[in-house]
Amino acid sequence: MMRLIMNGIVRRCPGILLLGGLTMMLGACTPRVEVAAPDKPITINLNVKIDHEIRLKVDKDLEQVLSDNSGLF
Amino acid sequence: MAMKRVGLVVLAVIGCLIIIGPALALSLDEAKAKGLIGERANGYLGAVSPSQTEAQALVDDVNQKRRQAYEEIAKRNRTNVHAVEALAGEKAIQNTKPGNFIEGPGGWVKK
Repeated sequence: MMRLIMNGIVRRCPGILLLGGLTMMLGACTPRVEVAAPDKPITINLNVKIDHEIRLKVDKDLEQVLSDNSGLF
Repeated sequence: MAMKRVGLVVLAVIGCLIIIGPALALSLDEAKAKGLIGERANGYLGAVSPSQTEAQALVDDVNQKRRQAYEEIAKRNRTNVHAVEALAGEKAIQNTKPGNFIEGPGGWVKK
């Protein structure tokens, strides 16, 4: 029974069969979208305890203390 | 009469010592050059050898003055004194002359 039907389709509409075949093949080629975590862990540097601007001001003040005149360094 | 002269001589000697006394004390540069003291990462000085009492006295004296300076700077810039100390330590070690001691992770090392 199936053989009769199949033969009928193959003989009558080869174009449709070709299309069908192609679609099935293409369907198998769905692109894979992977959402994976990066290999290296994301590190956040928490050593920043002082605001950058303040650091610059402190640096300037320290430059004075560190100079030879202070007698402390 | 002899006693008076002896007394005068003693006074003169003492006087001389008082005048040149400070010159005999250990200077900061000298102590560093001699490897007696070194800079620490926390912004303060340290005595390289615990047995050196004169160096330790110098260290204590200077550290006290430094602490005052750091507190002043911290207050002025509205920041934590420890942040100032750490930054000072960084700069002090940077400025240390090669051959002088600095405190490393394992102890005193010559820069």
